[in-house]
Amino acid sequence: MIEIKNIIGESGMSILRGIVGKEFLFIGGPEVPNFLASDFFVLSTSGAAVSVSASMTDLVIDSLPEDFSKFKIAVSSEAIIASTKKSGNMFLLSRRGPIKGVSLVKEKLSNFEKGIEKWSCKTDVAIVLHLQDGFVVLRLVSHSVETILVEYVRDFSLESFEKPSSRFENDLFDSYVSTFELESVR
Amino acid sequence: MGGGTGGGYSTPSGGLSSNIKSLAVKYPLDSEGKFGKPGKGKGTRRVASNDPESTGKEFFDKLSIGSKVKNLEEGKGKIGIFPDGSTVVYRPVSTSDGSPAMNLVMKGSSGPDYKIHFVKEVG
Repeated sequence: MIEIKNIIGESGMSILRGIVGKEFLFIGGPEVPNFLASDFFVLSTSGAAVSVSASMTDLVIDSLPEDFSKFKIAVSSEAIIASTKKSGNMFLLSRRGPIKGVSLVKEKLSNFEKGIEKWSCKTDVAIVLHLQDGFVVLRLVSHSVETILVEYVRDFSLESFEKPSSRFENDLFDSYVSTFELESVR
Repeated sequence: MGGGTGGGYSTPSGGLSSNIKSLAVKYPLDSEGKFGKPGKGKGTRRVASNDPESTGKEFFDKLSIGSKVKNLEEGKGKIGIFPDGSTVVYRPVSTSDGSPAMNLVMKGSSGPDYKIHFVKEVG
């Protein structure tokens, strides 16, 4: 059985751990539209400003090349922060407050051939900021594209979480099962 | 760093679903509501033409109407994102086989999520 990990690396995890306890200021980006769907966001806090983007990563499954979307986390450059402020594309300003925690939604997508598990791919599919009165959720729309959707919700649970779509569909030979876990970055 | 500049909103439309219907007049959908013919790999399709790059660009231009369009990082292509998260991505050179390729993701229950490779027509 092949196990693939498509998760945020240690440097990204360290950056996410670093914003716990800081104040959430806004989320936005130079080209972020007001419907908060983009491949690149700036998460501004009282500590570091964090760039959250998605890109495609190439994996080989059953000898065939497959690309999967993946979160990338970095400390934002001064230039990106300045151009975000200049653009005015700053959102959720009214949600300003302490970040009590950061969690990741981890999806394990498993492929079964004739009932036997052939491969699985574990992917970080959402970043959840725990605020005083709610949650800011950054989630991948699909395993196939770079789009991240951001929303503020009062309550967050895995039961209500909208899973990313996938081009892996059940057919006569293969079936796919997804399971989800919520894991703190701490 | 984020993606490149050069983005903007294309002319408003009825969304990706409406754009698919319009494009299907020229490129018919199959019984699954998808463009092209089944390709290699899961969730991949193949659209054959004399000029694959031009056909790929035509698909992107028509399917991205009404979306927020921007360039991908490092000149890898273009992405069009609709307010509901539906997305079309055009890459002139796909990493899998080098052909021009498009990812099409439509949100909503049973919305399609597949990849189209634009290939040279044979014969």
